[in-house]
Amino acid sequence: MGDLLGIGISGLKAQQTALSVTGHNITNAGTEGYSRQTVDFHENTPQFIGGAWVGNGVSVDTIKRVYDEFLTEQMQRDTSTFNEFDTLALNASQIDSLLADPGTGIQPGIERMFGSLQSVVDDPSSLPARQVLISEANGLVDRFSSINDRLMDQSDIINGQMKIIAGEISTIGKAIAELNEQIQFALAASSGKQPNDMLDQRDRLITDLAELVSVEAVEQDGSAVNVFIGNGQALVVGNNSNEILATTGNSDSSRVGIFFRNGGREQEITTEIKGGQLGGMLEFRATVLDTTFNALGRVAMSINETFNQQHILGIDFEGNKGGNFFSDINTPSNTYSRAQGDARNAQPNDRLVSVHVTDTSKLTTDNYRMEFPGPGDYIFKVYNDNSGEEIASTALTGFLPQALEIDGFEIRLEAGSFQAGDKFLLTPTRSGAGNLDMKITRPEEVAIASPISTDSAIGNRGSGAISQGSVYDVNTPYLSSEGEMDPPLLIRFSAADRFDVLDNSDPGNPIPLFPPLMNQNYFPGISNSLLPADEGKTAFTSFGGYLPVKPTYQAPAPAPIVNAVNGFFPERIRINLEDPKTGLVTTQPLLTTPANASAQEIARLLSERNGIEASARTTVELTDFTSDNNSLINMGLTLNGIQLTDTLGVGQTKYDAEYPAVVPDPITPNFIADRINANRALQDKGIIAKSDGDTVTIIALQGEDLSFDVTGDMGDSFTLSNGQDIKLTQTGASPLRNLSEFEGFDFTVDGPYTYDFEVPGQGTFSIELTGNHATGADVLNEIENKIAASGLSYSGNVDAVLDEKGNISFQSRLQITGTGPNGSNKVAMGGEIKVVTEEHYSLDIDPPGNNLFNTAPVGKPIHFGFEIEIEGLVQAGDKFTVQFNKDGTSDSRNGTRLGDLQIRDSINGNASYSEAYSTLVEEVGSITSRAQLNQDSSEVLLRNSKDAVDSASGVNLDEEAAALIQYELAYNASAKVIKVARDIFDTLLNTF
Amino acid sequence: MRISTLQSFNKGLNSILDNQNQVNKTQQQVSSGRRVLTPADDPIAATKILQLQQDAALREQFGKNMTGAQGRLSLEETQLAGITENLTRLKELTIKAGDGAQTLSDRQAIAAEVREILGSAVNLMNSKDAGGEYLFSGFKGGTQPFQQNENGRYDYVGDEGQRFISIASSTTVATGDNGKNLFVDVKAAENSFTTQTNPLNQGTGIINPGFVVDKEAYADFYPEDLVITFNAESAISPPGPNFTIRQASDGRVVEGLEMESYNKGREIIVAGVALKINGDTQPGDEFLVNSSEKQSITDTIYRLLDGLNTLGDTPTDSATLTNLLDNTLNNLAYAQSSISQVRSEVGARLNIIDNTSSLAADIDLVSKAVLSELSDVDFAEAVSRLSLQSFLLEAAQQSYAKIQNLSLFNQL
Repeated sequence: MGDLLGIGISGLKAQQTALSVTGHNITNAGTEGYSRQTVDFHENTPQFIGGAWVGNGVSVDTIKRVYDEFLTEQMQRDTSTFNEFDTLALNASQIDSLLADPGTGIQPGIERMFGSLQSVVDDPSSLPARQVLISEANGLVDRFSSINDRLMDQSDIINGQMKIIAGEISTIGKAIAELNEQIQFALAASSGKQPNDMLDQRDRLITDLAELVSVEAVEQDGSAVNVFIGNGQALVVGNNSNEILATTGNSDSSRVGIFFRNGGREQEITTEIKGGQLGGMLEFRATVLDTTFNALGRVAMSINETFNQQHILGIDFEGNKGGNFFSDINTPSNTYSRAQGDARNAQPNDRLVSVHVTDTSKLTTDNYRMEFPGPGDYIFKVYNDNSGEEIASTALTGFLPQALEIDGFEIRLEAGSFQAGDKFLLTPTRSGAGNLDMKITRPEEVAIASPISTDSAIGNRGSGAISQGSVYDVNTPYLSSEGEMDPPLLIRFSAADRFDVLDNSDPGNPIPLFPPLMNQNYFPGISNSLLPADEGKTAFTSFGGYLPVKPTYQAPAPAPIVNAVNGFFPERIRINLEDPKTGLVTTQPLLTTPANASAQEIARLLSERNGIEASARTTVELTDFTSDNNSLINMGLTLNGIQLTDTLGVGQTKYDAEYPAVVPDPITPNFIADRINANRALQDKGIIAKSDGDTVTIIALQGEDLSFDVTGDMGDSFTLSNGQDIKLTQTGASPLRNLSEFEGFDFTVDGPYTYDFEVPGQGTFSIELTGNHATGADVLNEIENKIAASGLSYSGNVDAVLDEKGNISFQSRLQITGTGPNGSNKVAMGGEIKVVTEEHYSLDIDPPGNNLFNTAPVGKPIHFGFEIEIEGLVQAGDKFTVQFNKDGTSDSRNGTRLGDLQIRDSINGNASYSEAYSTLVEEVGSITSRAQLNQDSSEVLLRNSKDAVDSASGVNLDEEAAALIQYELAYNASAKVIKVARDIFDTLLNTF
Repeated sequence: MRISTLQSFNKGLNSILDNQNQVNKTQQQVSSGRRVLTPADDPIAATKILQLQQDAALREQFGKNMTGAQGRLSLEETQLAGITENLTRLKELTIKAGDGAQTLSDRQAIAAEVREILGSAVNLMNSKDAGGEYLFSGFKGGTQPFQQNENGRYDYVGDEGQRFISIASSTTVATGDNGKNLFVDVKAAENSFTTQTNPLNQGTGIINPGFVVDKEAYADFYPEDLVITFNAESAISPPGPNFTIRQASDGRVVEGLEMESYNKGREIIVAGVALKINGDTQPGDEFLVNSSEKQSITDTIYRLLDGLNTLGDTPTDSATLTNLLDNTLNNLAYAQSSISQVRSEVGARLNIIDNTSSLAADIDLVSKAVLSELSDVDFAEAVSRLSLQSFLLEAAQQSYAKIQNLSLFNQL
């Protein structure tokens, strides 16, 4: 019976424990992560007393926490997911409202700038309107830069937050490792009894960690928990924890990367991080921030470049060429900032890579990665960093600089020791919005006018109307000088369907252009584009015909017929094609021209080749006709087998009235020209002539050789030349008055009077005029002698001419005479070949060369840089001129073109500036909206799993109140047991 | 299901917060009148709204352009009407001068009025717009288009520029016409010519408009052009100024006029035309004579004025005068038709503007309706939603307070 007291005490102690557990539950009802605890009682071992097992009271077995590890894990996962979307939605919605806000968005800025541009187009001479345009353009630049600044801030904030979170992760990891240790001690000390509160604390730490990043917690040996993040990187193993760092990323120095430090080694795990706030930030950075930077940059660059490109095609208020409106997109600092080497690239860090934007319409909003896989492979590869797709794989030439063009930009490997394993991040568009800046400052500098203007001559009899012309390239020779068009053009119709385009520098004497643009077709009834378009074609022109040393003598019959030849040596021509993408050059089989082939024949051979279109034209000038006054044998002249000097009988006519009936003695240039032009046989061959009374110029339009057969007395003669005037360029002093063929000149005064001239196929020669010459003839003699002695090789005589303005030019002319009663003199002249090559083709002449072309011929672009159209019916003699738009202050053609940019699809070929911008707004809006939806749904999931955990482990105060009452009653009852025990004891004592 | 105390608190709180959120959003929509507050609310509608707003801004700009163009064209129309009136009066005067009873002094009186009308017409041709730009000088808006030279004749020094302005995304309209097209490029009763001084000349010589003295000779020569070139003085003996006249097309010398001696002020007669050069010439200077079947209005009036003032009453002069008056009447008719052609074009342009403007107004109406549908809030719906949401919020709050009062501890 003595045990009743012990039993009562055991009940008292057990209920006390139960009451304190209940109290613990009640006080922790509001503690986050607390699992309610319950007490397990068990009866003490009974004693065998008096033949029966007598109970021995109660004791507390364990205090358990009500805990479901699966529910907790579920809740931790949901916590990571919710925090990821929450962070993403929070950050994205800031950008979302920033882009669409009328106060900060780009769209109103674009509208305002183009609106003010339209006011300038309407009234181009108004300087205030131009000032408003500049202010509004500045406003647009400000909008871009303020959004860019906000994005930079956001990027900085994220970089900072990532550092803080990385620190927190490391701290929590350390705390978990410490708790692991304490729990191990506690378990050991309590022989395996669970330290509930410490376990709760550890679970709470893991949940905290899950808020920051997605984690995996694995229990080991029933005591320690190992925590893994990312792709299995162990943050906590038993009692040890590793560190997570956030510092400058390897590939992108402007972005913080996440590094895992294990012992002394650091490993970048940025791309492996998922979930939690950190995952949300990385997701935001990749899908929203980078996209916005790039898309905004692309719009800015597109506005920048397309506006500049159109602006430089105009002229400003002062008649100067338009400069860049916005700053240049490819300044050195911009181009270098678009490429950055990986921090892990091998030392020394000496690689120089730049990215030049070449075509903003082809840019994407992606970043790119360039890698040098090596070793052994001498190539480099470019990947799209967003899709991972390989864009290009290019062989390293081994020579720097090397360039590669993709997606609207050109990567230039400029210098340095590129090595296997090198990686570069290319961000062509990221800095676009930040780099947009104004270039022009003064309202006068806005180029609203077009540099060319067109006129039709007042004397035109046809109804043809010339367009105002549109300029597309100001870097051609015609438009490259400031304040003028060099040369101005004259378009002259030689027939209702034929026109020539001439150099109109001297309206009194328009001359052919080089390369010439003569005898072009005109089609009445449609709009005719008169000038060649820019198809990348270049023109190479051959030297032209050679004068023979002397004519070929044809002995009288029965001697065999000898033919004069044009003297062309064979030329070995190589035609190369360069692949613009790889730089690879392919060469066509060598073309060897036959000796003495006519220009027509050579042009035909060249035209058979791919990428080549050749034309030919033969020109010969005849002048200085003389006659020996012996009327027995007058000069007879046959051209290409057709006699020009046939005598008509009295009353006889040939062809029509234009064919002169009488052969004059000496023959005159006008006579030859008239006979050639009226001769149908020659017309059929495309041979025409033109005479100015002194000289007759005969032209074979198809480039066949012009062969002459001359009979007559030895005293009957003329001189022949290839019609190419060689001009002398003054390099020394300028004479006080113009040199003239009628006056002498003293070259000993002042001076030196030096001149240069260039002879096709021979190079440049220099002469100096010296001495005092009394008459103009002496001056000409001096010039001719000096030219003859300059080292130039020529046939016949040098014939120099001084024009009215004192300019010197010369031709070498060969005198051809009759041969007396027997035989004749023959001479043949070859022509000039014009070779037009397609884009990327070039010509090369195999040595020794220099027969028809220079050894390394340099092509000239054949386009003019502007287009001119004429439509309507024209008549022969109608003229149109194209010249610099002088004083064109009321012209706004270029302004209209600038205005067109507002609705032109400049981006990716399918979007205007505004459309591209609204696409960005939509994209960010969708991401934000999706993130918000995900945030909502993941919040519901999190609430549910929290509910489940709370439902199982949470404290219910009513329940605890009931327990309190229950245990209090039990306690009271136990106390009663003790009282009974005392009463029994007292009864027993009082008995004695 | 077991409910823990924290859970029941949280649940009550969450439902209050959710309701508050919704009430707040609806309140924002009602107070701003916008259904789409940020693009995330409805990304597709947001993009459409942006596009519609841009279109509306463009239309507004085109509207401004149309107003500007209308102003310019109406001003041009007024000036042209004034010039037409002048020409009508000139026709009357020309007919009056043809009356056989008129003597030289009568004609000189008429000439005085003709001079006034010439001045008035030139004044109109040189009119400026509100911004100080000359209306009829093409692109050279800062240059007075018709300037009187030393010969008393008016030269057109503008160009053939014509400004266009966009009034719809694919429609442009000319906002003016140049003086050359209107007043210079006018068909003449007889073939005529224009003269030009080569801008590269070093001398000060300026060639006068000249006139045809021998119609038949000029008809033979027409449509060839002439180039008069001054040679070095030493080309002739004794040395002195001399010139050569060539055909422009092929450079042949005309009528043997090679190294022809020249003295200042000499009349040059070639191919039936008489020309005069005022000022000094230098060797190398060139003067161009371009054949033409056109004559400017100012030249027509100027030649009439000259004839009325100088042609006497002799039979020869009378014949010349009759011919001149006939030609002048024809030329004035051509001038009027040239101007009325442009006036009808101006009218057509104003019509285009009217049509485009009313079309734009229609489109504006439709797109405003679409825009409103996309972006504006439906107030009736929103307000009733707001009252429902606030009712729900209140219910959540009250039930929360009630439930939290229920505790066993209150009974202890």
